[in-house]
Amino acid sequence: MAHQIVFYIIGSLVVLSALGVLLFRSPIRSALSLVVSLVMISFLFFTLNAGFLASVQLAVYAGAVAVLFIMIFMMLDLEHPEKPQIKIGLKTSLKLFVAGTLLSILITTAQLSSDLFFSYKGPKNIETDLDVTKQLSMRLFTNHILTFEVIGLLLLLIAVGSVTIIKLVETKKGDSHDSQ
Amino acid sequence: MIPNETISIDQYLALSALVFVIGMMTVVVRKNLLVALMGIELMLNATNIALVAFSKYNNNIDGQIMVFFIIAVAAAEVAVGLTLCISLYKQYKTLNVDDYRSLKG
Repeated sequence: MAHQIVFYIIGSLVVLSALGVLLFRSPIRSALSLVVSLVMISFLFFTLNAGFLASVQLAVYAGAVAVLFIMIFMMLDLEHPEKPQIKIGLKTSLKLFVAGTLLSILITTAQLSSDLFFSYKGPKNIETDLDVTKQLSMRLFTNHILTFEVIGLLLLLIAVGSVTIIKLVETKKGDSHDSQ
Repeated sequence: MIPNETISIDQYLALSALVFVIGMMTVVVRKNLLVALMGIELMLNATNIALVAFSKYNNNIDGQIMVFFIIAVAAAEVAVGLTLCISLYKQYKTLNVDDYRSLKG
């Protein structure tokens, strides 16, 4: 029963702060709401016995990504909130209809597949007497080592690529200034 | 930490679906490009919830490893997305998606 209560508190906080991202008009408030949502999802990972992922979620998402977003807001000086565009018109009701349809399809599929899930007898490779983080790292560095290396390469490419994009824009601007 | 026998996996999947749809609505409805990127982050996190729940209920650690990779790729995606936002802002002086008309015929 206590687990149910913890789950419902954390889940409702996740959903409320996600709704905050959608509904706040000022982008900086959306960003702070996103931080609350990410921290709550990290707590959810803790209750799911995934302590390592919870700490990674806190460090990478709630730390790095959120600070990056807020720093971009600071750099770009975006202090004009959007006009309230949620009027109940044809377009908005169409969007709400599509979102509601998708939500009901997703939940129905989840319920149908959970029957399938309980009849599924896949490989079970968590041993309860060992630490989950230890098992995760053992499997990560043996079976999934190639993916791990590819992710490292991807991060290098991203670093080079984003610098190149900024450089491209700068040179294009310089050219247009020269031609004027 | 907490044995989850009292919570069925349906509840985690319903929470995941709810957060996913809220993220999708954020991408579709909001005009600010940075807030749309936040919506993408929400959608990725919703899939992470589902994957960790499946990993827990299935006693299979591969779901958690997949979440680890998803977090790494999402960080890379945010870096590129914010770079594109900055370069768009430098060119057009706005982040409102309705003001980008250069592809309109």
